[in-house]
Amino acid sequence: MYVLETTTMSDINGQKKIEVIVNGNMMLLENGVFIDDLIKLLNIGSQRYVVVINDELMPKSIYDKVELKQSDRCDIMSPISGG
Amino acid sequence: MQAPSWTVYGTELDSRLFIGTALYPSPQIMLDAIKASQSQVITVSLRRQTPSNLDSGDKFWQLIQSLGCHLLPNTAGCYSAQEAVKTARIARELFDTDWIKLEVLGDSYNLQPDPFALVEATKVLISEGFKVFPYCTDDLVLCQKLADLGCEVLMPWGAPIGTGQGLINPYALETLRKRLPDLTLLVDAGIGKPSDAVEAMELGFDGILLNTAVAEALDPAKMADAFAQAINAGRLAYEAGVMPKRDNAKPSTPTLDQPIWQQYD
Repeated sequence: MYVLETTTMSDINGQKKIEVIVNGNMMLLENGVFIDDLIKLLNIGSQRYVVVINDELMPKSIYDKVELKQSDRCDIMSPISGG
Repeated sequence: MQAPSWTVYGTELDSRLFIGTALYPSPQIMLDAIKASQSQVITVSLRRQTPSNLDSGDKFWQLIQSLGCHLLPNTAGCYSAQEAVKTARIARELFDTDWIKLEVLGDSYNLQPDPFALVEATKVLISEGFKVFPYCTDDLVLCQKLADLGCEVLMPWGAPIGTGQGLINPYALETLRKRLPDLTLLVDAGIGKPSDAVEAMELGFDGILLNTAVAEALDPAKMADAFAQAINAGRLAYEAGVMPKRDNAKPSTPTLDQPIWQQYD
């Protein structure tokens, strides 16, 4: 689903790609991708969401400053119903 | 007659019913029920997006925005103070409100709040400027501690979440009302039918938070209307002053100058 290409260790070892866990699914991304880029890639820019990286809440003001790293766990949180 | 308006953390409200947004058979039924409830505060939650339904969160957001209600995000499903604090911070960013319904559970069988973790999380969140609405048990000492920490609102349970058992311990709730007369108190959880809500309101509670009793009714919108009327009636009754119970009967019709006087043993 999120995996854009087949993962190969040579890609990762050559630092062309990084593996990031997005909402519990592995995603292969170009090295040097920022949170902003990930949001564009997922095409959710117009939605209501917040991003949490490795359990740390990311303020929207720094989405263009935080670069995703190998093995980062990225959770995109959305509103749901609740009691 | 409509009971007078009241304030919650400085926000003036007409309705004394807070209603949940979960468990409805469809989004449209949810909208109809919330409108029928006349509630001005709805509870919401947050989860990470699922790959199969990337825009479901946004669809839900659009729906609740159309209602124009105040949002009360919860920390449902958290079992530690740390988890609840993190969830509250995410909720503040996501829903753009410093209101938080603080749930920290201690037991998965009856979803009973963990009083120790609740106090710990409340302390942190109040220091960060949150307006905390703790979902708590009806323990008086716990409630006093939460009030001492700066909670203006407390939400003790009537019964475990989703059980519809009504007020299991009216004595404890009545004691809370007597001992914490200046605090805003809502019964949260366990309300099954409108008469349960009336009972809580007649005890002097300021409001009711419920979800399942409306969402799982055969006709949620009609049940929401029934709860709105019941809660208003209960509040009016409390303000009007309920007569004390007596052991002996007392005729309501005057007996003086009765045309036929009979003496009974």
